Amino acid sequence: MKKLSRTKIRKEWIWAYIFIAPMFIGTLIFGLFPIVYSFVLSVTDWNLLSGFGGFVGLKNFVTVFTSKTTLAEIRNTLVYAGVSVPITLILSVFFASLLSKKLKGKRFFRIVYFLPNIIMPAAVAMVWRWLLNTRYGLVNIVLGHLGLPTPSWISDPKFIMISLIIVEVWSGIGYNTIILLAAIQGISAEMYESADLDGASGFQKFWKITLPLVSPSMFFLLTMGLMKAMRAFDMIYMFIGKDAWSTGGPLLEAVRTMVYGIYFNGFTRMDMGMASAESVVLFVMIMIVTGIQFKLQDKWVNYD
Amino acid sequence: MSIKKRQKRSALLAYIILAVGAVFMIIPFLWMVLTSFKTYRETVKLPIQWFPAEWNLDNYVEVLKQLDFLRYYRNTILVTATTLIAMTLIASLAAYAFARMEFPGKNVIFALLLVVYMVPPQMTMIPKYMMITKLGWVDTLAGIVVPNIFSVYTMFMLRQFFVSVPKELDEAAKLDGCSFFEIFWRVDLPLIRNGLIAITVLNLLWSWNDLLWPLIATSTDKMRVLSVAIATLNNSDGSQYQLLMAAGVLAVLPMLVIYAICQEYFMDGIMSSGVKG
Repeated sequence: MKKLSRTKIRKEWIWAYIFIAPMFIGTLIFGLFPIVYSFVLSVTDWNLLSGFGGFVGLKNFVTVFTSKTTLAEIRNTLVYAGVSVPITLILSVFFASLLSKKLKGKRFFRIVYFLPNIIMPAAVAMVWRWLLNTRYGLVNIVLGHLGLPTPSWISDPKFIMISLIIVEVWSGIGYNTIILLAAIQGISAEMYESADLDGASGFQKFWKITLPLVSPSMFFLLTMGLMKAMRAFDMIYMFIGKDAWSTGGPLLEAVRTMVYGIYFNGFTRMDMGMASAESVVLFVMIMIVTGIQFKLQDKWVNYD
Repeated sequence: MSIKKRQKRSALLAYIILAVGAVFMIIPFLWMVLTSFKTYRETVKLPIQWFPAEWNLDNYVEVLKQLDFLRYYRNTILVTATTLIAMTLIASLAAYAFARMEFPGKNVIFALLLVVYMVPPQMTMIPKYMMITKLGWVDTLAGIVVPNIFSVYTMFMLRQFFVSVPKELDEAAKLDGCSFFEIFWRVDLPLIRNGLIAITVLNLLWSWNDLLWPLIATSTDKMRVLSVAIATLNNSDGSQYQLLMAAGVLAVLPMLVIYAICQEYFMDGIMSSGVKG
């Protein structure tokens, strides 16, 4: 018996290695190697236009943390993620709890709410640029009719970040709502029935039952959402338009994020050292933010 | 009686709020479609003109004339199809090995893949760009596709599906003399079909819509995909909104059709992505 299984095991090993070989080798080449290489590049002076300038230690990192542009990028990244993700989550919990009621057309709403995710972000940004156009955009026309102020959503440095956050929230609600709806529907009806017998109000049920029981899903969405929002690029690239990102200026300062900075340093200025240093900083920032999430989860996430 | 009334009222309120939300979700698309049928004059008319006076395809014809849209379609379909096939095959093979087979180094390799998964892909785009430059892959299909087909995430998801398939079926096939590959291909892969499709439609969406990597990996029109074409158009012709919207509709239409046909798979995919593994 033992002998037989031994030859079988050997055969299993070989097959297993064949099965994982493409994934493993590919991940080494296009996953692990670029990660290591990123760290190496980050301590070099390497501009593709002027050539390799040798190792410079932490010089690029010093630049990241002292240059006005990169500091603006760090700030914008944190603001963008820190504002848009919680708002998305709060609205999604609200919509999901409404959808969890016994309603007809639940399917319809789920499908419609996810629609923004189907459209490529490049096209989404283009549509929103048009909607938010100062003079002819639908948003300002409606606001004007209501007698409300009609700001220059995209060309005013004070408003462009708000506009981006609106679009991010708009496109994020669908995914979050669907996940939270599934979580709410997983709560047993008995919990609510016994709360009904105790005479609990709708708000009390939401606060004491729904919210604690969906907190693991909220934790998942918060963590993933922050990770994703800190890597935002498409919308920003599309929103600023051609003129702002060739000339810079206050509009760009108000909105450029770290991935935008990595793209700009790497592919416009061809400065691979700076771009890589900024990638490393972004990576560490994402790790720290995620770490804080996990540290804080005991305080509010309820695993039973 | 009064409880029922209260329930009815709260259901009505829920409907109204959800409907308002739905309107907000849909209006940008409606506006995109409406604008794509207007003339330039109609787009900049004040007070606003809601509907085009004449419904015709002039803007679409103009976009197809000005831009090589058919090429972008062909490129995007080519990129998406090769990415999906390679990605699914590579990920499902590895997922099966991790779910079902025992071999030395299994945990170490798994941990290594997990580490790579934790690092955001944007962090590695500079080295990846330098690699494809060295390989002469800029502006080629390989340059756009190959760096993206090793999806650790897809592998993790598929592994979960394989784990949930009862082992007895494998044992029975083994006794019948099937090889490991045959068991994987004929027994287990068909059994996780629904999960596989759910993950694949989400990967399809991601691959079709991705902007940053194709933007980096292409510099000419030759292998340009739809998302990059839209971005280029957006930056070069920023005021002709009726044309921009027509191009946008053309770029997103295929995904909308697929979404309309396979929404259940999309929902399954989203749901399984949210389940803590």
